[in-house]
Amino acid sequence: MIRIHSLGIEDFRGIRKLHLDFAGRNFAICGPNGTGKSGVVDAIEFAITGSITRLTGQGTLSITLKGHGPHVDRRDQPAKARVILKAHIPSLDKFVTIERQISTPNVPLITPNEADVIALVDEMGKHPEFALSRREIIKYVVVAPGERSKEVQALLRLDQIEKVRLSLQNIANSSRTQLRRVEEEISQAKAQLLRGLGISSLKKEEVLREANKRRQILQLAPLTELEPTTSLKAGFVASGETRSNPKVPKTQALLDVRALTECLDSAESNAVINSKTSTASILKQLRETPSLLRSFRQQQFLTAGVDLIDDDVCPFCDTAWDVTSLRAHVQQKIDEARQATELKASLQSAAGPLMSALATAETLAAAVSIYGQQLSPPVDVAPLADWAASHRNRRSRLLNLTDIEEALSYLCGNHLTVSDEVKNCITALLDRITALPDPSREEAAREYLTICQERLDVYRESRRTQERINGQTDLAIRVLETYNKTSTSVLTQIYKDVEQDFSKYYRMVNREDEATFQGKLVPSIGKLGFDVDFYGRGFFPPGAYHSEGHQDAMGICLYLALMKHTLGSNFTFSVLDDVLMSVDANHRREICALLKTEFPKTQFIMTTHDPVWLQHMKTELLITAKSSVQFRKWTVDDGPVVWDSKEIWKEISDDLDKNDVAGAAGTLRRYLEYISNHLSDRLRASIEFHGDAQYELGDLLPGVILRWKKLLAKAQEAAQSWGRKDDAPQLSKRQENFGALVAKSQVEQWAINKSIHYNEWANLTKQEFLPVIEAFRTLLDALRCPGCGGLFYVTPPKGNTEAIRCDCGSLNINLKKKP
Amino acid sequence: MVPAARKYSTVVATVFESFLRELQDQHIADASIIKRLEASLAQGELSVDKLRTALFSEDPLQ
Repeated sequence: MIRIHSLGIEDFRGIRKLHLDFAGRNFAICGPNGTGKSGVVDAIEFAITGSITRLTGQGTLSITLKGHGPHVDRRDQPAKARVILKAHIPSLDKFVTIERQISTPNVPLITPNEADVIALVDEMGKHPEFALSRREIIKYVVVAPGERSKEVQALLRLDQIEKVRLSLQNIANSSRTQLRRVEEEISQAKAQLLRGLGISSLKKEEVLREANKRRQILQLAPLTELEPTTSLKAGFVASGETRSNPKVPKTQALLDVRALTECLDSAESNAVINSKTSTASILKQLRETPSLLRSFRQQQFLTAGVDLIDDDVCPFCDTAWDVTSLRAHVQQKIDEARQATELKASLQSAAGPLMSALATAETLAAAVSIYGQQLSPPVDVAPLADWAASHRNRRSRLLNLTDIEEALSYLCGNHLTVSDEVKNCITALLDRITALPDPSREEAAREYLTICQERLDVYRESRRTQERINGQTDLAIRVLETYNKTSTSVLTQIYKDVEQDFSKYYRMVNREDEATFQGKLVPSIGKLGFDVDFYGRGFFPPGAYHSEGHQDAMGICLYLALMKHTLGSNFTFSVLDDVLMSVDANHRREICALLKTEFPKTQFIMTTHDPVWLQHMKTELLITAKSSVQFRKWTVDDGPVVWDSKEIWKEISDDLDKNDVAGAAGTLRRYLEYISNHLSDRLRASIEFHGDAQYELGDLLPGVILRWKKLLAKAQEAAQSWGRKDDAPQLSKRQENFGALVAKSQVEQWAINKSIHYNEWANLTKQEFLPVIEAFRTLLDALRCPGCGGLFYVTPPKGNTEAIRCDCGSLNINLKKKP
Repeated sequence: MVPAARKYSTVVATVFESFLRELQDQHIADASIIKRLEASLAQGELSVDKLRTALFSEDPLQ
């Protein structure tokens, strides 16, 4: 993360041209509603992320970044709308300049153009949580647990954790599927081998006994052991038969054809009947719930898709998206498909016996078809091969749910019904094989050993594959379980830590009446419960009993706790956009203290419409006198206008040149109110207290003048007490000059002579008003350092006064008398 | 201990760290594999693909 040093904004949103110097420190922007504060927040967000949340959230359908990001008078020139942000990156100890134009929001100009800097800017761009507005506070506090879970997960960036989990889950599922397939292959290979061997169970003794019978006929040494590499035909000399002209093994071929005939003629087993019934039931459930069926079909597509999202465009249709929103959108659909995923597992399990019976028939058909091709002349086995292929296709369509009606109709009939054409094909094969000359004893033994060895090889290979997939599945499951265990454990601890920090922060803010406050974050699948203690009466949702102000404070405390755990030492920067509207003055002071003490390394940029809140930030030393800006007004032509002691006199003069005395008078009055407010604070003037915190010029400036006079008098007394004879004349001159300036301004006459009161300025002529302006300009100059231009201030800010100073240190007047 | 890589949030880095440590402790993966994955994590490059390739010599999804 970064610390912002400056921000330049041109023709962006409501801002024409604005430069702000943050100097890497906390900074406050204050101004009435509609003066452009949020425009600054938008500019920071745009510089870092390339987007503006306010233009892309809910209810902004017809609003676009390119169309409405530029200043209204530059809406056809998005290239003119740009933001330049200069910042320091503490983790790299480098400075970076990010420049973005609305015309090309995703192509920032980053200086220096170095990989580590670009990677950091890119990463920050994906996570705009550094900015917190009041609207966003709500989403952490008063929302449904499911929604809060999503928001908090986004803030903690848990999508990466979920992405890895999903991927590991996919691997485990895929391994299980492969295992099921291999087990089916083993079952078929075993059945073929047993038929070839002519035995009913695959026991070592029986295999050796049958093989040795044939080996004896061929005068081969008997096998004594059956090991993984043992060949049933070891020592066997191959006949002259070639692969291109293979001889049909009559005995085995007849066994296989009869096995196929029996398989087709036999009645369906109970297992197959039950399998068909339960499969049909699930299919009907899917047919009656279209949304479930849609999820079922999309699940695999979505799971693959979420892994492909790496950029700000949809990987399928190339539509531009915010990558985080797109991933969340797809993830939501995957979550919805979870029920469908469970149903898919049930469907696979229910259809298992039926699938197995079909696979047996298909395997037999495939073996028998080969004999047809080996016969001379060959028998046309196309009808049989087509029947087997058609079954294979329908079997796969049954589980993929390509056509539910077709699948249901398939399940209604006898699954192994064959056409007359297929029956004739099998009969023809049987006749032709039967008509083959019987093999000699030796030939039969040779055929037996050859076929059984081939089938044993297939069986052994299937077992080896099973062993490998078994190991792979076991590993995948262990990895997944380990991941789930560790991530759950870490997240539980983190939620615990967040909960503790949140409670601590909230107690700091409300130490007076909620010193024992506790909050509880309760994570569960897809949800994050959030209950808070209400004065020892129990735990309730934050919105149940706590006031809006308390909820605002909870929001900021939870946000800070989450950010601390999200970014740790990288939490170097945060924008708080008018987040404490409902919090009262005392609690705001505590929040200042919280930010200052708990987050001393974080730069907070805060906006507020409330000058009193700004003052609190200063008095609590969250910001310095220099690290704030006050927008005094906003115009569509100029954007936010800042109080500037040089520009203001030119503006007043321009008004007078246009004979707009009322305008000049209004500006002078507002400026004097603004500056008097500052002087009252800096000089610690006594101002009559107003409960509504509204102070007019007449409330402030006379108090400032009186205070300055008293301070100079006090300085004179202090100088005399220390015997500093040289200081006395200078102070006397300063007092004398100031008195003359005050007299000229006639401020002290306001209360007793209404005709010279500032309320009457608007009625003066230009000639009459010119000296008034000059009088106040020179009066204010007397309270400002001619070197740095800063207003004088009294130090310390509280307690006994000690000195009058200026920001540059060129003025330092002692106020303490010699003891 | 793996330093929290800047590409991940502290939470994510902590989960990944614990996961790799547990894989080693449970003898699910060799120390050399874990070392390689930890290096990727430290550089902010621990992707799903890297995990898959490192932990499953034969990719079950291929």
